[in-house]
Amino acid sequence: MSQIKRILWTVTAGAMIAALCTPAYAGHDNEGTDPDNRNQAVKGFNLTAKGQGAMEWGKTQLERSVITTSWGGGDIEVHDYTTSGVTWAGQTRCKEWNALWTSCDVITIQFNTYWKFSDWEWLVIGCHEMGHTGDLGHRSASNDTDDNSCMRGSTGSAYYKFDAHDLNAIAAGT
Amino acid sequence: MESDFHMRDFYLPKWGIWAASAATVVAVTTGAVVWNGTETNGLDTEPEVISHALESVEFESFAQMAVTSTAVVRATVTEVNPGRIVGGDETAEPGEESAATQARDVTLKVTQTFSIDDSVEIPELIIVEEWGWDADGDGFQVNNYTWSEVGEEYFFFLGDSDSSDPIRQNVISTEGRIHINENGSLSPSAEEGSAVADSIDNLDDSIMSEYMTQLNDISPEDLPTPADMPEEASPGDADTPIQIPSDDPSPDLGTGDGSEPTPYPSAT
Repeated sequence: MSQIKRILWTVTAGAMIAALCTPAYAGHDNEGTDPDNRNQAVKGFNLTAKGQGAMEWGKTQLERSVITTSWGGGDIEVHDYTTSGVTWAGQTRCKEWNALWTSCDVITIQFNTYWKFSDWEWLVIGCHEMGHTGDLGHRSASNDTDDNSCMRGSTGSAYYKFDAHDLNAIAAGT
Repeated sequence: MESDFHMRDFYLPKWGIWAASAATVVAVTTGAVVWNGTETNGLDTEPEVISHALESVEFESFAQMAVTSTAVVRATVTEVNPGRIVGGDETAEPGEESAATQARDVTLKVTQTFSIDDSVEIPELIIVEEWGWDADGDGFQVNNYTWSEVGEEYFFFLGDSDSSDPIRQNVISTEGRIHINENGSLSPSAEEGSAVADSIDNLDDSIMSEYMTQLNDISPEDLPTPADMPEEASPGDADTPIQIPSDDPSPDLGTGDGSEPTPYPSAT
């Protein structure tokens, strides 16, 4: 190996090691909220009765998938707040990434109690947000042609359960 | 001799270790500078994650969104500032971290206003909210609604405002913003594959403006039917337990007709 090549390899190796140590930032999340494992503990914080019911229903739905759930902190944290000025019913995001920033350690679910939702819609919301914790994205009319998925984009178009496609997708994506 | 040759081939001299160390230090320092450059006063200057949201309304087209809106404005972002905090006084338990979120107040210079209601007046400077930051100052965007950038031009579809201040306006939903690119092409905040995004395909800013201008000239029966917007909850609405349906109206949860794609590996 020539001296020049040796220098290039050495510097490249150093830079690669350093790159692994460099903090990651925007752009690592556009694949959805990927849980760091298939055992997820769920904890609600001062929830309203509707929020509690939605969380419990969502957890039940998640249990139908390859993900095993339990009650407790550290994985999925559920809150409900009255948020005016927006029209979303619930949202899910990664709160804490794992050490390698490749999947999510702690996931936050936030329900919105500003709007009046029917019980059916609350079940939809619970299923939908828990679906995001299983790395599911939104579905549209064109890929939920039989209208039986809770992962559609709005409370009006979504069903209150996962369909087989959702369950398979959780298995494939987690 | 052969083994000696290999030993020499992979031999890393002391100067090599120093070079690798130096490269490491340079790269780490550069990374740290970049990292610090994405925060201002502890708040990220760009979204770090996408918060996936379920909307309470989904529009059939941009046209339906337009007639449901109180007004549509064409505007340029002049300023962005930290806004209100939601959930800050509702921390779960002593010692638990808050899930509070903070809005971004986006100031807009309105250049054109379109509305089917002639009585609607939108000030030249308005503020709309977008989200946001979490309790740690980490930035997140909601669905495909990226953070609006100063100097960029957009169409904003405005919904009912709960503020008496006319400067404070609400974007009608996370689908309610369209970015006008430099070449006039449009990038909707509606998610790819949604009805709104599909309806904007192949349109440009001039066609969009022309359509909006003509809204007043179209007879009401020819306009799309406005979407049903959600109703504000009354106190106590969220306090009654959910009744789970005892009979499942649609027990077949298969994909059924075979028209749905195979499982996608991740969110889309």
